[in-house]
Amino acid sequence: MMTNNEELKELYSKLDLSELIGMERSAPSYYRDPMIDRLVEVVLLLGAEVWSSRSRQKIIEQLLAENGQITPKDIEKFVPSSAFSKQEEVERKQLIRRLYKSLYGNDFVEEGGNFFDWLMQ
Amino acid sequence: MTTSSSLVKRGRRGQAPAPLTQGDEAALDFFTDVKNQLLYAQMPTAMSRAASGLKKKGIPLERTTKGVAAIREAVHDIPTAATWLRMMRSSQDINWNRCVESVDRARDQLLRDLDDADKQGPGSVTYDPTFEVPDYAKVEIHTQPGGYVGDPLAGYVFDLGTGVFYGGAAYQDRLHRRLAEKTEIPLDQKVERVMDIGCSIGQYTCGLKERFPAAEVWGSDISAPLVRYAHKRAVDNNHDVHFAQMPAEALDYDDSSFDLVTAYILFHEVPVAITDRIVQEVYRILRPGGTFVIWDFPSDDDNLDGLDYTGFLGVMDAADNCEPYSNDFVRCGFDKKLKSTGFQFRYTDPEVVARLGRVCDKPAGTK
Repeated sequence: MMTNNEELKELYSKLDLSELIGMERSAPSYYRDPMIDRLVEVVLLLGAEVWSSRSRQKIIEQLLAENGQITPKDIEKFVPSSAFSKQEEVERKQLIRRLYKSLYGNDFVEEGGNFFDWLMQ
Repeated sequence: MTTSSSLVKRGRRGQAPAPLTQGDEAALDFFTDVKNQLLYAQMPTAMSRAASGLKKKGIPLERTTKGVAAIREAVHDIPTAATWLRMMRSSQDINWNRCVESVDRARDQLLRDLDDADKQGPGSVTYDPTFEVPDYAKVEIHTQPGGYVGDPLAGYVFDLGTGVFYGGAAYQDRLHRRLAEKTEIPLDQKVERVMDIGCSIGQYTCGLKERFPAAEVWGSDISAPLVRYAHKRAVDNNHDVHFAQMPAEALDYDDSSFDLVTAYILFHEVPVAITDRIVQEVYRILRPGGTFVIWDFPSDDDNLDGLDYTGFLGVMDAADNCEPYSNDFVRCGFDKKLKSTGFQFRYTDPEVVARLGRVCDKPAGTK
């Protein structure tokens, strides 16, 4: 079983972390009025809520079409098919674009694929 | 709602733990796509606007508390950069909060599940409740509440939260499996014992076990919550892997006892003084002819992925995404450290290194 030995303790005691930025969680404001920061966060939160409701509705429609009746448990247990997931992804991305494009104005960049694709090569 | 932590194969997440409600899952899916579209696709433009705006105002990119305050102040007049930073930070906060909220709903059950998994195989987990975690490892890295060590369920939260961070690339462990597939091995092809240091929740570690089923595969991490969850995840997926809570700077293994050692995005999350010690430790536990494969940020003599982390991105990621060590790492001459320790780089072409990581051999015939 591993323990802290003296050599390790000495190594740790010599670390000077006091000047490093990011050691503590920050609470930044990026807009002159911090209320705008909060409102942008609210807009993000609301987007997720809108999508959650929409996704649930789609699942309900799917299950009703398949079974004629459903329970809340059926919704929680729902396993989407690949086609269902793909369609959801398309609709989710459209929603994100529609909701947030104006936040960046003319600087908005259309989706560029997954950021980590280069690691997958 | 289910109260089981079993790794439900629901949705596109695959074998990661399903969020405990359909609503949680939908919200995390939403933030996954927010990452891809509003942050990653938007990043080059935001960086460019920030760079030119700060230059115009004469604001230097100082890596100090005062310097960061000046940058934040200047960003007030650079809307694209301000919005990008706001979206970045808020999406992180909302994402982590949702993950914690989801895990909290079944906290007691999930803790019991970890206790049960500790005693189960295949594989094993060892950790020491008396181990004093050094301060450097207590950071709330990436703003994860409690960081890697402050919450016994940090592994569950990490799994859910980083799935979003990767923009979906890590769902079903695709990214980590791909890394394992392309991990270079010793030139003599002998891979009987493998160690993945800084293994977190063991996604890459288990990928290595899939790649080398006959090998004895180990994963180590300084965080007990992460290795415990890694083990549970491995048990649920029938991976015979051994996990151990252990700082990479003090590997409790014999000299020359591993054929292959790997480290995926570990080094930029530790202080440079610790980096030096880890490199020495890996050299010690690798057998002559063994190979050390490292996936991490560029350091100052290369630019592996074309991402300029030495500019605005690096400063603000450190300050507001709790990455306190990454700026020092990208300037520490990491490759020179590896070479001076005795490692030989198998590849030097930056494009190959970007694709295969830093592949470092301990020369045969050395101690």
